[in-house]
Amino acid sequence: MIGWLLLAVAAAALAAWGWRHVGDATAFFAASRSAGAVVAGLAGTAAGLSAFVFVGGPSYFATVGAASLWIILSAPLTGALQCWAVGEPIVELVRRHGCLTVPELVAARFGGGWPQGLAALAIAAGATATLAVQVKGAAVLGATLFDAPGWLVALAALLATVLYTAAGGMRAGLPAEAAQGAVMAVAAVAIAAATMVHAGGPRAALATIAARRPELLDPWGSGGGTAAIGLFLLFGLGTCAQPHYLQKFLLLRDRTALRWLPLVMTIALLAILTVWLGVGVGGTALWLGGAIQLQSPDELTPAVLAALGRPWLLSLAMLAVVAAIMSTAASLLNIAAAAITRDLPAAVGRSPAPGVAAARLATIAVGAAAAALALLSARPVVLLGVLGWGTFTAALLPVMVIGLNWRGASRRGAIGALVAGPAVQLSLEAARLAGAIGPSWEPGLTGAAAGAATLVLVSLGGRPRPARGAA
Amino acid sequence: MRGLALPLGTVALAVLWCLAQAVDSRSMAAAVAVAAVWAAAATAARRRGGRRLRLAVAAPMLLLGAGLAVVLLVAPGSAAGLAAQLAILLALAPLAPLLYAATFDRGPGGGA
Repeated sequence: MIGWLLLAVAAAALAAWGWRHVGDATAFFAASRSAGAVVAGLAGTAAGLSAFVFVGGPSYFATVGAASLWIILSAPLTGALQCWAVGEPIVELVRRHGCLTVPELVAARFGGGWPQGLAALAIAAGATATLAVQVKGAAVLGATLFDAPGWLVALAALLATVLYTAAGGMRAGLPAEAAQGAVMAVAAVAIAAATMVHAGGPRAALATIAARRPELLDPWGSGGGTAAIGLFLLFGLGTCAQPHYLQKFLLLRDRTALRWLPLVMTIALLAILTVWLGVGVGGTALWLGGAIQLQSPDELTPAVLAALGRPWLLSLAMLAVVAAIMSTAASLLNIAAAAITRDLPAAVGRSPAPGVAAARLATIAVGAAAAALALLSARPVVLLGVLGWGTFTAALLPVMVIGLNWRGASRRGAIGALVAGPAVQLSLEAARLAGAIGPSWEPGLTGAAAGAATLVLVSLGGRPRPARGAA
Repeated sequence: MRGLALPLGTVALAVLWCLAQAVDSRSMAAAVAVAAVWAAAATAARRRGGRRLRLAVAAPMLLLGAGLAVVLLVAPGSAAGLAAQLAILLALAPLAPLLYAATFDRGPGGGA
């Protein structure tokens, strides 16, 4: 109870601070371009890794074993990859055009109207689905960890986030996310180490898994090798298309902040991902050894924390889980609000509403929609997370990586990619749910492949042909 | 022709990726994955130029390719596959961000 009161007071104080310091769209959507490498790196990592890592990751290891690690195997590369492929062009577009949102980057490159509108639609839909993952994760953890109904815990965390994000936008969200990222890193390392010690160390944990369920040590898993590589590529290349990651490039103070951004991101990312590996391997060994009982793999992290039986660790875990949920939620609320109040009106030729009142209202509306989606959906946490990530990848990867780096990419090609990518991804998602395609097909990546091919072929097809006989 | 390398390479990778999924070939999928990540990172070298940057991009990609090859070669169900996965994580973690910082371009007027 005291913890919830402290959370409410902290959120209210941050909201009040944000309300006073946010007077225009640059402050609300781009934190007044105040981020250096450390703040942006911690905030970007916290925004990208959330309940998915603390809840979905370890439970996914318990379900498919080492095959789950393909999701995190690209982690050391993603910081540098993002900066090389999209960060540098984004910073240049911001310098030239003053863009505040990802769809504005698309508009700056391909012109307003359809490209900006389609990018905004994808972001509004994908952000709401991804936000629902955070709420669902909080609901799963809440029942066990917080001695309260799960939905109540989820709504409390979401309400606190909506409060300061609606009041202060990213001006309040950025420092909060950076602090939350630091808390997540410390807690993840502590929880992973404690779990491993409780399981008898890495060797003993692996020996238990090898004895009870050796198939969990197979890096390819029951889904097959192509599906495993698909996850690696989806979560590697896909980082270049996640708008809550890309948003951090829009908040940078200047270009020099890029230099050490990959290093900060990699350190923070790997520290937080130790919870996936530590609780995944150690917790699975405890489960298989009979030390903990599970009704569903989603319960692995809460069950491990309960079994560890250390009040300070449980408190730290609760703090980290709430931080994890809130950090991602803040960025997603903000980019969805930007898409609804700034990019969609601009796409149909209308000026964005003056001030930030509309953005504040949209933030509240997106939070309500995500809560409804999470509490009504029967999909497991990990699948809901992949759906949101896949939608962003299918829609935005071609226009961000190829579109920002190839001068020949045309407006018509970009529109084609923004339509074809999500259309293929959502069709394959439906086909997979109906059992019409095998596990080797990864919908998000296949959508991105279709979008990329469309972007290139339409762009090349629309090029003016040189006159006959011209040199 | 040089200007068409990125778009034509993109179409080729898109087709090969779909083919790898259709025939369910993990070795082909791994090769396409490394090539796709490499191609995305190499856009910086295409934009900025410079031998140092091309080498900085190539080094982690070659290491990644070698690591994936090891995982492909180990016997299914053995813990050696998990060890190879962890080795990829530990080897690439310091390398990629430090290479990025070492070849960072300060922008107009700055050098790599």
